[in-house]
Amino acid sequence: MRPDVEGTSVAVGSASAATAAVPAVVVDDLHVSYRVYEDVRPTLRRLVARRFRPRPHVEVRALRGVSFTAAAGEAVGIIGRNGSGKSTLMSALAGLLPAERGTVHAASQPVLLAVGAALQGDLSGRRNIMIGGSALGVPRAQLAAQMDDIITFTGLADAIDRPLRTYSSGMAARLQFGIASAVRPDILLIDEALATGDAEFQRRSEARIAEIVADAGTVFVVSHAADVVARMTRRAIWIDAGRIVFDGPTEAALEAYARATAAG
Amino acid sequence: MSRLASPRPWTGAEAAAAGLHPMGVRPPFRAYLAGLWSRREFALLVPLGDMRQRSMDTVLGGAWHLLNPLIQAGIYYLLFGVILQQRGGVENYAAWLIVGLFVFSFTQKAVQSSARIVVVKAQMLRSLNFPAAILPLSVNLSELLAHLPALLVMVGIVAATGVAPAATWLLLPVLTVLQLVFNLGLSLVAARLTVHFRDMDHLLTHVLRIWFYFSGILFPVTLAPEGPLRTLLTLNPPHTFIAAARGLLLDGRVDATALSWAVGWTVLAIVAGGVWFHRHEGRYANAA
Repeated sequence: MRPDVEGTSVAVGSASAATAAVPAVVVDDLHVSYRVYEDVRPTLRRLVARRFRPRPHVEVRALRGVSFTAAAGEAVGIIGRNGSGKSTLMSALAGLLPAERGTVHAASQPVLLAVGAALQGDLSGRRNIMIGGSALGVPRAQLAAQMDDIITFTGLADAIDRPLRTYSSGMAARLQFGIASAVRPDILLIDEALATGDAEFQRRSEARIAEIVADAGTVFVVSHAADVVARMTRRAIWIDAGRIVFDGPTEAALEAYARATAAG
Repeated sequence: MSRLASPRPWTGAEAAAAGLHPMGVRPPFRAYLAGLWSRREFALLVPLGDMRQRSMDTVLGGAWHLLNPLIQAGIYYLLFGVILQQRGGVENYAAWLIVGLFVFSFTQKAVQSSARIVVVKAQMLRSLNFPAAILPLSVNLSELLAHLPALLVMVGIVAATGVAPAATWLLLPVLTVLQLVFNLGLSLVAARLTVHFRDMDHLLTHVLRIWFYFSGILFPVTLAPEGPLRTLLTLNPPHTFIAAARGLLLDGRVDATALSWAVGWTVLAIVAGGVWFHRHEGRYANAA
């Protein structure tokens, strides 16, 4: 771990230099909806009973016209209440949810790091690193070569051969972070995945994120912890009810968000 | 809204013109195949992990992969060969039955366990970006691994009943690979159907059972009166594979008719299944 990237020196803003260059992520008028079905299973009997009309459902309009552009070398915080569309935005950036309208363009495939991403609970941490890495298209030989580094980074050396289901949520988050850093993505999306780790691991992941940003990567950080966003980003986007309320300097965004939350 | 050091907002058209990649868009079919190929190791790791998981807690462990087909063969032989004496005029009924049974169960198990896989692993699809077709593909590879011991048992029983080994036995792996591709085609259809109707999983059990009785496994299709019904039973996809396998193993001959029908069904299944499954790609993550 590089000792010089720590604490407040994490945020790297190279936006002024990047304005002329091709951005890393372009989101243009993004609308994402998904259907939430009533809590009944879709069965043939019900299908016939409804005369083949669609199942009863609610259309959740999670994102309603979000536009922003992020540069290479930029770390962007995403803040907002529960259910405001932050996680949906991350999934859409990673290409895991289709856009209903509008577009998402990225310079390379973003990698999403989310709490509760499902791997195989009965298999060991080590095997899950292999499986997760290969799902993201990393060659097995490369994974095997990096395995020791990944394990050291996660700090899970003692638990790495235990089944994943015996891990705490913090340990599982560490493992995922290890897998994602094996891919060395240029665009990393972090959805609350830092919240579950302990202070030591948070420090290490923040350093790793700073490395990515310093290497002209782009990082999005979704977090409820204002201090994490403040420490790691210079720019923040506040989302509410699927729309951007504020997009600008992190300090100003956090202040405006805190004021709005306090006002109720 | 204040904007500071951030870049000027681009439009999607500008981004596309600058060569950025669109996200959340279904890749064209060829790019989709390339994506599958680049994740071939993933397709192998998942079934290997599942197998390890399944045999971890049992006393006999991996031996079950051999014992299951043996016991199953024993039960059917006892029932139809010894008790009912229902041999349908077939010589060497035991071997004849076993070949039909095992060849069919390869397809049956692959399709049955593929049906739910996309629904079961929806959470994985929502967390990691990979082509959904890798899931039915990995189930089929897993079933292939489980089928290999069954093939050994099958060949062993055929030899034990006094059939002399023939050069055509060496073609059995080719037929198995062909059947694997056929199974994959059906699996893709079953997996997508289950996304739309969860009932498919249950329905499929019965559809496959009916198919079992109509595939000339317990009695030869020649018992049916000559006419359209017999033609239907003969050309029915599983029967073409079974007939080809019986030809190779029991009669030492290549049943060209059965084999060419099997090839035809395979091409049809994999093309139809592949194209239809791909049409829904990008939306499988919503299946929960």
